[in-house]
Amino acid sequence: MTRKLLYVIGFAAVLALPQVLPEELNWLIMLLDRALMIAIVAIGLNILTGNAGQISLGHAAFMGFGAFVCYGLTDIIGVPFWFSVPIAGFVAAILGWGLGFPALRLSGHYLAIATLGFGYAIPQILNLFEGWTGGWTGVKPSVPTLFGISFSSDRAYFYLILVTLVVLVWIARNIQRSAVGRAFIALRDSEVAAQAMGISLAKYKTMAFAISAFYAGVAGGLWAHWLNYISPGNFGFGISIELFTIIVLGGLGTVSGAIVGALFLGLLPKLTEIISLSLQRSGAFADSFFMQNVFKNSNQVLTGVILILVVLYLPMGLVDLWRKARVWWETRRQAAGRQAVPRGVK
Amino acid sequence: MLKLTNVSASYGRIEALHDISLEVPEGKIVALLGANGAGKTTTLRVIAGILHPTRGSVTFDGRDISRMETEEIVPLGIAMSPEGRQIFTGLTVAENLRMGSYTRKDKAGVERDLEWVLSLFPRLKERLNQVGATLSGGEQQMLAIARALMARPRLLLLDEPSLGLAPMIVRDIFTIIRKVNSEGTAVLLVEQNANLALRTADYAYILETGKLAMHGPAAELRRNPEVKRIYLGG
Ligand SMILES: Nc1ncnc2c1ncn2[C@@H]1O[C@H](COP(=O)(O)OP(=O)(O)OP(=O)(O)O)[C@@H](O)[C@H]1O
Ligand SMILES: [Mg+2]
Repeated sequence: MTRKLLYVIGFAAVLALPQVLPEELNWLIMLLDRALMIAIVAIGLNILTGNAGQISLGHAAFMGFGAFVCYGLTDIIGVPFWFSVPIAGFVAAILGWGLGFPALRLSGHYLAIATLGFGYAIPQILNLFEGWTGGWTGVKPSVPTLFGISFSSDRAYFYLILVTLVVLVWIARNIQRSAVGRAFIALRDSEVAAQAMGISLAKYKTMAFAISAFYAGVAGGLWAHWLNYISPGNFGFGISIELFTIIVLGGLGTVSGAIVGALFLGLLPKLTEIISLSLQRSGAFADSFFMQNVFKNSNQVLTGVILILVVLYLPMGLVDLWRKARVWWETRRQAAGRQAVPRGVK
Repeated sequence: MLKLTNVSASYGRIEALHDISLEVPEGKIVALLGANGAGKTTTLRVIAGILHPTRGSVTFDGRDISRMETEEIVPLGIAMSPEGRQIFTGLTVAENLRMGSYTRKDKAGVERDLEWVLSLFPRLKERLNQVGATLSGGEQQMLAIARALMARPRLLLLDEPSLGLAPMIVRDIFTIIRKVNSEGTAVLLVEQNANLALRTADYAYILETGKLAMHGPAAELRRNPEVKRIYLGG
């Protein structure tokens, strides 16, 4: 009961966020929009990597592909944006399904290299279709409108992303709880045994790739018409590694891990930047050229150090913090209870 | 019931099985023995449809299954407990067991068989909601066998069920294997522990580097001086 209430309050707070944040914090809305779109991709990747055990270091390519499909449908062909976004997801899913087949013969490090190559090749290929993708100069996807409301601001777009996220979270949860979700875990834990149980590796591996590519494609579609500028070069190795970092950092195999990881990694650089700036302005070591330089570069170092600390102390991901906190709280309460009894006896 | 006729199988260009013929009659326990790398696991893989033979035929109830996929073979009544247990460590005991009945559609039958395997393995019943990773080695082996039984096989393929287990646990597991067999399930048992296997089985085959070296009733092989010298250690 109280838990449900907490969820409702939490969700209401999220809904109110774009309304109550002052102008000066526009950058925060922008970062949140970006982080939540990345979270959508990460949820899909977490099904592929966390649940089904298949690594992908080229997932930004699916996002980019989805972005250009959505742009092409909306701004070249004239399909309504609301329709283009899911189609972009499905078209990306077909590409993901296709990539699943070579992946059948590969695993571990080799799959990592193959997906890396895929992530490298797709932008190059997109680049060749200049009429569609604009080549390296890119294209400018339109601002979507619905019921006369234009989603030109980051605040308005926030709701669009949120609705998509909620729907896709619901779908991901259902997949994970279904027989398909258990089959994914089975093939992650033991391909030999999964196969012996009659689970078709070909079917489920390609399915996992397709599902994760669907998520990336949808997010790519949203991304295109949010940023209003896309170029094949934007969807490279950097984002792919960011996605991989997010699921490991947040927690492999869980929806919440993908979201928490995306928000954490999305906001962390800004946080360390603020710390770095305040160090520089604090006046400490003002006469030391060396220390000023240290302060100036401290944000990257801090980001790195924090990432290392997280994987060191929370190997199960940030979501494990929640469990650890509960265990700590329980043991404290029990300890307090034990002390209370003898006192009461006296 | 199961019949392999002149079966050969390879991994890439390396031939692991050469011209193997063997039979598992209805309701019997047949042992498959041999040194490391002799091709025992490969034989089970061929039967389960994980690896297709390059030559020869595999028939089950007179039906050729050598080109069929595992997901078609399991419903016919052949289930395997793979070498090294291979339980799903991220799933609970209950979920592991459900994976065993993956290809089955008869819900009521699955529920009945769940009760049945839990009565065979009471230790698993106490641990239904525990994740596989936290089970002991013996419990994992029990789970691997129980999981295979959840397919309600008429032929159970067991790959080294005694591997790395204490003698007490091995005894328990073999008692259960005999019990399952006495209820009508045929067993093809791969074992390193030849002594134990020959005491349990009705009939046995011995493989040597991919070829059939010897076969006969288990009791006879146990007295065979050559078998004694090489496999029974004296
Ligand atoms: N996946 C594989 N790829 C290539 N060669 C393999 C593969 N699996 C097995 N082999 C080879 O096939 C031969 C038979 O192996 P198999 O696993 O069937 O032996 P085994 O009798 O089960 O041995 P053990 O008692 O050690 O389990 C060996 O020479 C082995 O090296
Ligand atoms: Mg073997």
